[in-house]
Amino acid sequence: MKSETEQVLRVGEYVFPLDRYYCSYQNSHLWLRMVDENIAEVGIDAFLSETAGRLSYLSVSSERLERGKSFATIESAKFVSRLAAPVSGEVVELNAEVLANPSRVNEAPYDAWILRVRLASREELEAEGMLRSAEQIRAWIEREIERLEEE
Amino acid sequence: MRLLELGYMGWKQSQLVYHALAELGEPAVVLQRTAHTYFCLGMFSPAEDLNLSFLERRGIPCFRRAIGGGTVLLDREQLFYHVVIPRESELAPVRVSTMYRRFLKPVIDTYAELGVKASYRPASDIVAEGRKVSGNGAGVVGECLVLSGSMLLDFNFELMAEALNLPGRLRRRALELMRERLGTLKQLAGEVDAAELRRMLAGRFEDLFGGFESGRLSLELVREMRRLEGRYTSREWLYARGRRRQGTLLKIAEGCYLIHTKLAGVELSAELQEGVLGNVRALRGGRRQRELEDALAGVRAERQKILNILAERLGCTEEIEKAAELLAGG
Repeated sequence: MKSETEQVLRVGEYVFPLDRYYCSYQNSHLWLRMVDENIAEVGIDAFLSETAGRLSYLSVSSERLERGKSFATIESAKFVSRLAAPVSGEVVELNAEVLANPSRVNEAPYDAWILRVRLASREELEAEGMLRSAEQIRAWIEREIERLEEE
Repeated sequence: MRLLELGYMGWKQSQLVYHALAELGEPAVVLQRTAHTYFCLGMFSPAEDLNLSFLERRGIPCFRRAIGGGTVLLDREQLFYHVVIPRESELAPVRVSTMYRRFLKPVIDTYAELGVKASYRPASDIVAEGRKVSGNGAGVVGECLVLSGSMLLDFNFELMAEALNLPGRLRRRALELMRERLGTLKQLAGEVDAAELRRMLAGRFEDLFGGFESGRLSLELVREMRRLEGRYTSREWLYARGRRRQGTLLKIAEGCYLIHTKLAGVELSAELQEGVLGNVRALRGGRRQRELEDALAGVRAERQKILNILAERLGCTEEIEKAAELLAGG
């Protein structure tokens, strides 16, 4: 956590700082935190970080993100999957430390941003599946936990 | 859900078939064997793990699959199973470890039917009597979850060791470790009839999925395999995809790795067994570096701890940081 005064939501064993957006679109489980007027950091939330297992590989394949399209690939527990972009925009910075040591995502999912993106349109922050309020996030994660419990 | 029992297939086809099913979004379990010996790299396995010139000389091909796991030797003495399930299906688990537990249960039950008490060992192995008896990889292809693995009737340990891109001493050690830590059906259950094994495995998968329609290689599937062939057999795909490591990390079985690296003029090899470094050997200009060896031996595979040991003796550079990651099993 960045600061002790930061507001966080706890749902089951999962923690969600409330200073950012969470993407439930395609169940991508990515977070997006605005760091400037049009620049946002993108990372993996605590739910995906835990259910995927320890990340051993992370690579970003696109310089431009297109909402809903694959922009990165991860490997955890011998399982390869893709990350779908929460928003569209131009990648302005990659987090070399996290790309070199992807297990940082498991250790501190909300500090381990993957990339910074210049948003093509702030309107996408209000698009379907971009969650900001504690109520929305709680409802979504409770459904996700239910799915886990049914397994 | 369809069951495709496809018998022997060519080496490329034996991999393309599940990629094609997944791209088409067709749920299926495929049981088959390969007619040819080949090596198969995981999506991010470094091609440099293998001695590629040795493979070329021997005419042994190599395929890179689009799912996870490490580098494996595949041949006629193995029964492959591939499970393809749409991600949105109720059968598709959210948690990766649950997916392995669920989809590997039929394989474990088949071992039990043969009198071999096997169990799942995370991340993706099946073990029996302390040996890995089945390795597996998985991933998302198209909009499907795919799990692929094999049951070893027998295994060519010598060829696997020969093909590794390691100095001779370490190749010999890899061979010893593989003999200790890998188990075949021939060793554990005697001679097993492959057709009988396939029948048993099909039955256990049927128990899991509640019945199958029987399938075949449809024209649409063959077309999709042909379409994918160019992508998956290009040199660019084979050589450009692997992760860049500061040396070789050879997984023998879950919890057992052989490591070889060169850093700051030192050639270092070690074994990582159940999270602890051992058998460390460090050479600089042909001379043993005993102090470094002793400092690393018995250390738990924690990146920061290893980095501290290396940095204190060899300096802290990007190369050293990467070597620490490698020695920590990453």
